[in-house]
Amino acid sequence: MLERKTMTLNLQEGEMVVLDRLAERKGLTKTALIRQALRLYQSVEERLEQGQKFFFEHPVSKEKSELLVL
Amino acid sequence: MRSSLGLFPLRNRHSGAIEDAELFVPIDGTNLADFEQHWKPMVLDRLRQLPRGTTTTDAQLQDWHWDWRKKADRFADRLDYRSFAVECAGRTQGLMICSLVHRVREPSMLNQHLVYIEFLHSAPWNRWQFTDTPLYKGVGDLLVAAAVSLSIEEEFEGRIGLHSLPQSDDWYRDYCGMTDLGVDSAYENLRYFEMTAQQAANFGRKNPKGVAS
Repeated sequence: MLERKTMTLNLQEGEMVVLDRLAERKGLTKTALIRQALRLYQSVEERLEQGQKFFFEHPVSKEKSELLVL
Repeated sequence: MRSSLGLFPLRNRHSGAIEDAELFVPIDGTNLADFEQHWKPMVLDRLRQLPRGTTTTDAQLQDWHWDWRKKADRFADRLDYRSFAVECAGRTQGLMICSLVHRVREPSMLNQHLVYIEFLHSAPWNRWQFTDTPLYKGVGDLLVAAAVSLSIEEEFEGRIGLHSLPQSDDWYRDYCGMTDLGVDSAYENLRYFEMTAQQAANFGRKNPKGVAS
């Protein structure tokens, strides 16, 4: 196993509710879910830095909506 | 910095002996040098020997153009990718790059996370497409077992997915026991396969390598 480091994370009540809900839905611990979120954030950030755009596409109408990442 | 994930057995088909292979994460300069100095010349030789009119598809060499240095550079420092190298007898025997941000397509676990194998390559001297006497047996098994272990480690329950080159369709379907989800017209018309948690457990019983990533 690759070495891991421990940190304390402070969340607001609403953020904790969302974290709990997503972790349950995905069958992950909160730690695994946050690690997954970090991977996605880095992936999106790199692509945006390269000038790419991030879209969601409606499965039927094929209408695209750009996701604005702050 | 690369880490060893341990020693695992490979069968030397020439001698019949079991040899220790070491699994590393990530791919490093030693592996890329092996690819450029030993793998690539064999691939280029094989291409030169193809009879006129034979396509790389006919010769089961659709992966001939894979450039592992470019791939390793592209995915270095990315949290959403993990790369693996198998070394045995002082030489790189197999390479793999996995993505951690793909989702399940199989209906029973739709949208759950899985480990997606982007690229998996065994050295040319281990492949029937290059030689009538391949050297090591078990490199592909070891890399698939590593992907399953990574999936378990990341709490994805062993689920993995991949697009298969045509020459490997039977191996993933029949040997690995993965579900064939058909041709993916959005991905070069390659067949898409997934291994469910149950199939991963079955594969683990058949290949008890115990890879911990």
